[in-house]
Amino acid sequence: MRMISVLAFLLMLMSIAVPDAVMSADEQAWRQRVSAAPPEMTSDDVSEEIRFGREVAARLIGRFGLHTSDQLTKYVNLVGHSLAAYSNRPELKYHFAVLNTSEINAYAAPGGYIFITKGAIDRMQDESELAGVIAHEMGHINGKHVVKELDIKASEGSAVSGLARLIGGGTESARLAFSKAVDQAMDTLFKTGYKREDEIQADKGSVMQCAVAGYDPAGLIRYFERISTAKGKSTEVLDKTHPAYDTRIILLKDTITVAAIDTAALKTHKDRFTEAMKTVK
Amino acid sequence: MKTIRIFISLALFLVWCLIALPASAQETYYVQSVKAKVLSAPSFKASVLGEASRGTRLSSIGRDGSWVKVSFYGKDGYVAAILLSVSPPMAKHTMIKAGDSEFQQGVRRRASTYTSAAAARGLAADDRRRLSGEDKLDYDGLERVEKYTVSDAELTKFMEGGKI
Repeated sequence: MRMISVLAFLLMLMSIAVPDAVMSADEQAWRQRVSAAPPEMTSDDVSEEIRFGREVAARLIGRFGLHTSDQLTKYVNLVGHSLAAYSNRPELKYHFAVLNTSEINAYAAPGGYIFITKGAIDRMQDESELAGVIAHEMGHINGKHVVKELDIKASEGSAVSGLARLIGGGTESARLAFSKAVDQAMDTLFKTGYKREDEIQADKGSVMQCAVAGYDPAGLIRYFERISTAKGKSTEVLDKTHPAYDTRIILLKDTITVAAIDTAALKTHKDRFTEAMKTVK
Repeated sequence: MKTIRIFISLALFLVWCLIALPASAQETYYVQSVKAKVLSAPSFKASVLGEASRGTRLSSIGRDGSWVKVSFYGKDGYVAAILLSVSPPMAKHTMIKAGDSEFQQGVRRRASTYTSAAAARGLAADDRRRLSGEDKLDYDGLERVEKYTVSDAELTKFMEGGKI
């Protein structure tokens, strides 16, 4: 009888211990993530995100102005939309534009707005470098980094909720909350930067997105190596708001290795990039 | 003897639980990208089992780094996680159309409200910055960005030309 009791006790212990033991760390993390997954965005939440992103985008354009070259705008849009075909947010219509500044940087506004500075493009040498930067910015949008940080959604509980109500004439405090949130988003872009884990996620996402689209993901590494030597004001904001280049380069290389990406087999499209740049005034 | 039978039944039930529990971890994912390759291993060098198009429902049986392990026509396959989501793809949200002018008027009205409110209570640091040239809003520029399109034909040609 005692033996049976011991056997039953052991079996009960096994039932608790074994499921975790047989799962890898990745599987455990995945299960934890799935069980802790927040409710998905509603259509109204997406609309709210786009409306918020428009305000941020209007400020970005207001700060730098748009580069006027049609050829460059078209080329950046073609590269951007090629990547967008592999986005996990088909509900968004992405917009791509070049900001008229010598500053070396790129910016994303919620809802699908992606901006590359002319200064950044001037430092690039092939299309995969441009794709890498766009995919990184797309990662911030698709990861909803600003949206989560500032709790932008349509529900009543959100601090920045119901922009539609503001349009129709909301309360002064609601207007203030919304405008303050846009200020915070601008501060993230120009002063404080995204959370470190968000930057890591965007870098990793860039590698995977470039690879699935057929671009050499090492383009972003080459670009970082080149701009890491740039001195002066052109990289001031970028340096202030992002992790160190050497740290990011190590992470990018690791991601490429772990995913077993044969970078040599993927495209840099150097010729196409060079040709496109010839047409830019 | 009866007690032994009960314990044996209990033991069998627990063993069944051990087998069944991992299966309960299955999660449904949906392809969000235009297409997604299903590979035989979590590696870009792995052989391609097939391709799933946007909206395809896949049963996930685990996660391996940047890859989701899925069941694909009776085989275990791997899809890049960035191409999937736990919800079906949503319809495209176009830029605000009907309420567009209303929206812009609202924003402008808001800006002017800000000016008056700020003037009434004295300018806080954020308000001063907002009203400075650094943070001016360019809705005309935004409209140009939003209206800019590349045709499907141009994009297809570009992607096919670049083997993207």
